[in-house]
Amino acid sequence: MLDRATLAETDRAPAPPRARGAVRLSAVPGPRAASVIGALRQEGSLKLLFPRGAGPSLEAVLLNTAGGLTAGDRMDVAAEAMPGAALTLSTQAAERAYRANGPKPACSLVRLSAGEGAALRWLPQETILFDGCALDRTLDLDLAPGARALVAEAVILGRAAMGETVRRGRFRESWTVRTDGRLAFADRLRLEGDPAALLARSAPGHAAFASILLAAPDAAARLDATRAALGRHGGASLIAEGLMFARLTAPDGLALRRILVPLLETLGQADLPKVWRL
Amino acid sequence: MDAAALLTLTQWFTSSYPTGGFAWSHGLEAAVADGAVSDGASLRHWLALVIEEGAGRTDTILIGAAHRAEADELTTLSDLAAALSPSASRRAETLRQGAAFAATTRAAWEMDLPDLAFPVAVGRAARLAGLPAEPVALAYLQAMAANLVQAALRLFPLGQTEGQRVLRALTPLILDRTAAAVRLPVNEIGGASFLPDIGALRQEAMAVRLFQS
Repeated sequence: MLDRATLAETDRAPAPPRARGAVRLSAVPGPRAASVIGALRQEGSLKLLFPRGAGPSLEAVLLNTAGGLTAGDRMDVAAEAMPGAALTLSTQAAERAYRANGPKPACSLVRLSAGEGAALRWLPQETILFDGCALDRTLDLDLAPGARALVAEAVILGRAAMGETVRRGRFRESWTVRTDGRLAFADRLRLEGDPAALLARSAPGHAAFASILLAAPDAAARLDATRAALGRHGGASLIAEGLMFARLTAPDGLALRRILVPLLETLGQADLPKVWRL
Repeated sequence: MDAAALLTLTQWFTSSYPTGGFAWSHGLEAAVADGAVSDGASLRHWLALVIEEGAGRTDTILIGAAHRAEADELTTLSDLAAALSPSASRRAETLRQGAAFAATTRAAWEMDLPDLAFPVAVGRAARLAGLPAEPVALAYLQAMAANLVQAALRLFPLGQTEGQRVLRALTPLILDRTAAAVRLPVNEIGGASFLPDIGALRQEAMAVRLFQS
């Protein structure tokens, strides 16, 4: 049983130190076929790794050395594919949004841009939400005319293998896409209160979901194949010329991956970053 | 709200006001085809999701924001409303109904009301007519739900009375959600309307369609 002193101590326990991380990266066309690093800055608990890739794209892998996100954490990513360059970003591991022991949510801010004739792929591994999590994620994508981009975010509610679920928590994901400076698409996901129940209202028995955006001159030609790949619990639409949006739900992370991996390889016209391969 | 205001609201949100609402199912057509909606109970569940998590909540926030906005902020709000649509057909649904509402209201009330996305046009018209935002948002949501019940009647066997029962059962939810949402800033827009939104994406892929969304 807790005595008064222990209670008082618990009340006054200092908040654990908050993690901060920021990376800034640009890719420029290289002297040979492959794109190379233009500018690079790394701060705090975010690091970038550059595995040797075989394709024309500069490949960068984000690593959160804090090991996950909790209350008050803040991660900033700014990445730019300069005109004519190709850049692929992924994450070393699934991002974990842990139980938040504080009033402020973790904030993740991702700003991406692709110049004329550039190709950008933002393909982080899944985000796993833990019970009691609080995460606000913002993704801004700026596209120049003729830029290609493939963006996907996948979210899993709890680790199914551990019997976990997320009955309490906050998750917000805000996407804002501009083409040539004009607002082209906005998506605002918001699961607050009982995330598992909120998802179950739409998709009973499902604990994972993903959103995909493809910007490509031939996006319309990819629509039928995308719809076929998404299956019964997903859909896709050409929301503007050269811009396709898709969303799906799945029973768990594995079922989601079985759909996402081949689909993202087809849409990105390249293999997924090696970190995606288990 | 006075009696004249009540009659303006009734006129705007009756199904004979020429906004063309009958052409749009908001993705319900796919939910019916996929078996997610097949009777009064599942229709009520689907409509509650739209009202609490989906376009119902989003549009309520946009009506309030448009009601408070200055004239030069309306285009930005309308662009946001269009961009928030998860599919091309849902984008057309809000833009075309908004344009039709604006055209009729502009002419009949002699208002300076530009073509805007539906909730933004409604919020602006309410401001110009001197109507408070909250009852306008309530009538808008009720009309949206009523229009989707009409769509349901065409999509699967659901009696007129059962349709009205579903609508009646949603009234407390509409009342409960509108008062708070109409005052929220636009950065509070968002929800978990996976079923209606994925339905809207899937409806576009259907080979034979009764509705445009």
